[in-house]
Amino acid sequence: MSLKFPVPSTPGPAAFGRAWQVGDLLDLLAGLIALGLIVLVYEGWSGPPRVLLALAFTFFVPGRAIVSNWHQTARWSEVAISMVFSLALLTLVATITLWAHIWHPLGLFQIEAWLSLAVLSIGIVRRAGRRPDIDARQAEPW
Amino acid sequence: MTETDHLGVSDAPVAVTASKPSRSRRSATSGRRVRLRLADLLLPCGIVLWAFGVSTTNATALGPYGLPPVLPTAFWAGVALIAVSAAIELGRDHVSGWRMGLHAVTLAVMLYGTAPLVYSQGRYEWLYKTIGVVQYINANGQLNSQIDIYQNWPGFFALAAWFGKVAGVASPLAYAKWAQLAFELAALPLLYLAFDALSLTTRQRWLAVLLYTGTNWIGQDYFSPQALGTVLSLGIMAITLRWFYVGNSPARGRRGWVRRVRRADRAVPGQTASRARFPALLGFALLLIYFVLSFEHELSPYILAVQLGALAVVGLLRPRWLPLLLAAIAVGYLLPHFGFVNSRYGLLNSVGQFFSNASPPALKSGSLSAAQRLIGRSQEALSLGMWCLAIAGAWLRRRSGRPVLALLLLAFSPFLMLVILAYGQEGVLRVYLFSLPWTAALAALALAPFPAAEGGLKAEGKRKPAQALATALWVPRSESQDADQTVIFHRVAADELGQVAALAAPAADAPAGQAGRRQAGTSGAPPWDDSRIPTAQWSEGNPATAAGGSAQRHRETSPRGLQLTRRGWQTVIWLVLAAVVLIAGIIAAGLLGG
Repeated sequence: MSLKFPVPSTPGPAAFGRAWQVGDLLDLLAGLIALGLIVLVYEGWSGPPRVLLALAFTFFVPGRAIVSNWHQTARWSEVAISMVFSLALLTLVATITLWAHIWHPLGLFQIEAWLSLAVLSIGIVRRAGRRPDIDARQAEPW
Repeated sequence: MTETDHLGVSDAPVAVTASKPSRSRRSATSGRRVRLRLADLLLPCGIVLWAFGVSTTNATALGPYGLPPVLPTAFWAGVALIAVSAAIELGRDHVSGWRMGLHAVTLAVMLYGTAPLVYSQGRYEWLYKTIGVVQYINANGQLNSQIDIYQNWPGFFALAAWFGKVAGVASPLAYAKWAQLAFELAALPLLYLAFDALSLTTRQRWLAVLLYTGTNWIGQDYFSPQALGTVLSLGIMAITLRWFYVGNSPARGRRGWVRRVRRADRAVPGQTASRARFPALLGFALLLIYFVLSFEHELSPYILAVQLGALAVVGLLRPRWLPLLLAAIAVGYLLPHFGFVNSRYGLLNSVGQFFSNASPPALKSGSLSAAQRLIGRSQEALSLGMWCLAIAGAWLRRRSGRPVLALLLLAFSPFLMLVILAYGQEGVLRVYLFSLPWTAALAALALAPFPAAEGGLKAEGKRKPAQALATALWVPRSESQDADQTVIFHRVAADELGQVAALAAPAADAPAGQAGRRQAGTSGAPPWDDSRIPTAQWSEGNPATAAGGSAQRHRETSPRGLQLTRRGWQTVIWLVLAAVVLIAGIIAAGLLGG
């Protein structure tokens, strides 16, 4: 494709620095949600905490894992677009398992949760690898 | 608190901030004191009043007007207080993003969280049909496409069944009544992203978000495929408008109105718009989400394709074939199921019957009670009022040279669907639903027009009477409801009243274009969109944006604290009077109904 599209100007270093912090925080939050829900599901506990964690996972975690590794979207929207990706992805996978007659919702959840954790970890590591460069650039006066 | 807020509350001269970076940084760090604003007091007071009102509500015996007559005065006072608080905050020179975010969330909780709090079970009788389908999947672990249309578009039900197992609940009844609140809250950040992509100012964005929340009477947001479809549709729109919409770039030889509108959004002189290659990965993500929408809901993908197609026809969307590709996906999914749908619902019978398809469902039913008639008329008045306000906003925006065309097309192109189908006499309701985000945006333009881009100072002066009139209008928000034939009858409109206060702001403003858009977008960035905050520093490093943004930055950041201008106080008095009238009207309506 050779079509050209306008894109916003590149944000400055302070913007990136702050984005790192927010990104780390959101990744950590997503990881905790996934881990907490895995534990509750594994132990078989039920109740409002599990419902709330399931809600947070459905609306946030898998999409956050994608956005964490996709800087183009992360710079645009950290949370809102994660929500859209999460809902779309979970709906797609759940429906495919129904169509394919392999309906195992809890097994599917385990795969999704561990995969999300893995991808989130990759995102955190990748971001940490770039941080020194960003910090050095931040030191420059603007 | 955002970085922009630091700047916003700083006492450092803002004009200097733009040209002297070192002072900028100092001001950003030294200005961490947060000035108390009136909204900081009104918001918690409103929440307390609302909570007290809800806790004392007895919803066991309802009359023909449903819940509103039994809601105590404290409830209405709480809602009115939030509306007044939002109006005052919107009227300030610097609109605080996180404060407006709190107002939007609070309003959504008040409007969509009250029913689940006071009712023991979910309202709307048709809710239980969707629960039945979810339970079918839970029981059988598979679909039967011969049962009903739901099993042919199973996306939402598969997700709900999966969610139920993960959440550890035996039935969606455990949480279904909260779905309305969850989906409305989910829509807020997506609306903000979409409005941002359309170059609305911070004030207009937040006003549009509040208007959407307050005037969405359709009730599509219950535990249903349409609710999820609406969220996915807003996500698709946000992605499309951000990455594929070209209305903010220089015009390319278009004629007349379109060219004039698009030319007005050129970047400021000296700024060379950076270009990127076709965002292939985002395009793929967009198609994937659209594919999910195609098997998730029967109607949403087609309305979305029509809206995007309208943008592509006038050259506001690139690549132009994108809507065709989207339509092909939707039709590709429909074709294998067409026989079933047509045999059950007579899909082809409604083709070409525009006026019949446009009839609201109330007219098709038999005898109606006085309460039902009043509610129906209120819904129609609200819809027509919003559309009229949108047209007024389009007219005002046309004069300020912004891409009104895009918003107009998005708001009114869904009517084309009525040529094709009736959707069980609910077609017109879905048209309103898909039109509403963009109608709300246009209405926000009517109530808070762009502050003077090109000779706009004069134009703004002309708009004052129209604004005052428009903001004095109270629109009822109503929704018929549930299995008990009860009715909730909201009245929410005070959001727009505060826009009179916007006139108190200094008229100087940023130029149109990317720089101005970016400046506007960052000063009021919401908590969920922290990536866009950075502006103060990086715009200083960018000569084009620094030059263009200083004026707007001054407007957005000049500190005011608790001080209000004379016009501001007039606004407050107007708001209080209007709130009194509103509450009195609702109580009177409730008494009459009882």
